[in-house]
Amino acid sequence: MQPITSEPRPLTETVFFLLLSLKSGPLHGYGMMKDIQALSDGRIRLTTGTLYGALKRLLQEEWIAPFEQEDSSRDKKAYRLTDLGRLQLDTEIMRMRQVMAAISTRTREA
Amino acid sequence: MKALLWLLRLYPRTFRAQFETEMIQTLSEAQGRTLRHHRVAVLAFCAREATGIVRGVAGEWLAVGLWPIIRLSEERGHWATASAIAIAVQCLVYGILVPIGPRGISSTGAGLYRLGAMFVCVAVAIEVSRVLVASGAKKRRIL
Repeated sequence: MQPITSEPRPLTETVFFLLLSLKSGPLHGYGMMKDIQALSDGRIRLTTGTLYGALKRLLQEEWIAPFEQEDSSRDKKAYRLTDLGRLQLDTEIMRMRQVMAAISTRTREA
Repeated sequence: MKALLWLLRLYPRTFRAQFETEMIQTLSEAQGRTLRHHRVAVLAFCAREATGIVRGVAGEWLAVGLWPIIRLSEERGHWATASAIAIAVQCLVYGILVPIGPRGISSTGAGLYRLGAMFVCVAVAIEVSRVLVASGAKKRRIL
């Protein structure tokens, strides 16, 4: 994959919401599913298959990383956003803001 | 739930080694939450999860199968495009389905079989393209 700095591109909705759900802190799989459902007002309900397929790709790209928990007795594996993932998310948010600005400019004109 | 756990076994070995335990935990938690609802909701949950897992399994195996093409493309200047690979896979599937089709049937039957094969190929091409784009491929070039 091209580095984000050289060629930013829109994220898929699943990836965007996954990164967004991790922005506030590390989460485990089921936590992400619930958070994304809440963030999207129930519109996006990830299945386990979709979630872990996306998590695998995000781990490969190093946009997320396993969260090392101090309490190792907890068997749930959590994930956190990496700096690269945060940069990607911020770039996407900036792109969306530009789109929103364009929409509001045009709708105000009309 | 047993059927869902069985479906998880269909993932490639490397994927299972990395995520199977977590997926079982997540499925159990999600199922536990759904069990409080009506039976119809539980059935809907199982159907949705099964579809997600089947698509995930297809995607992972597809990624395994397409890996050499993606590597070759990377090494030789990113010539492969998501749509080109999707079309190539579509032609390949059609080339397999047509020769293995039923023999000794009427021309209408053969025509219907070919039509069905074409629909399957289009579905496969869409899925291949989706998997490629989801795994980081651009619409124009791979990775």
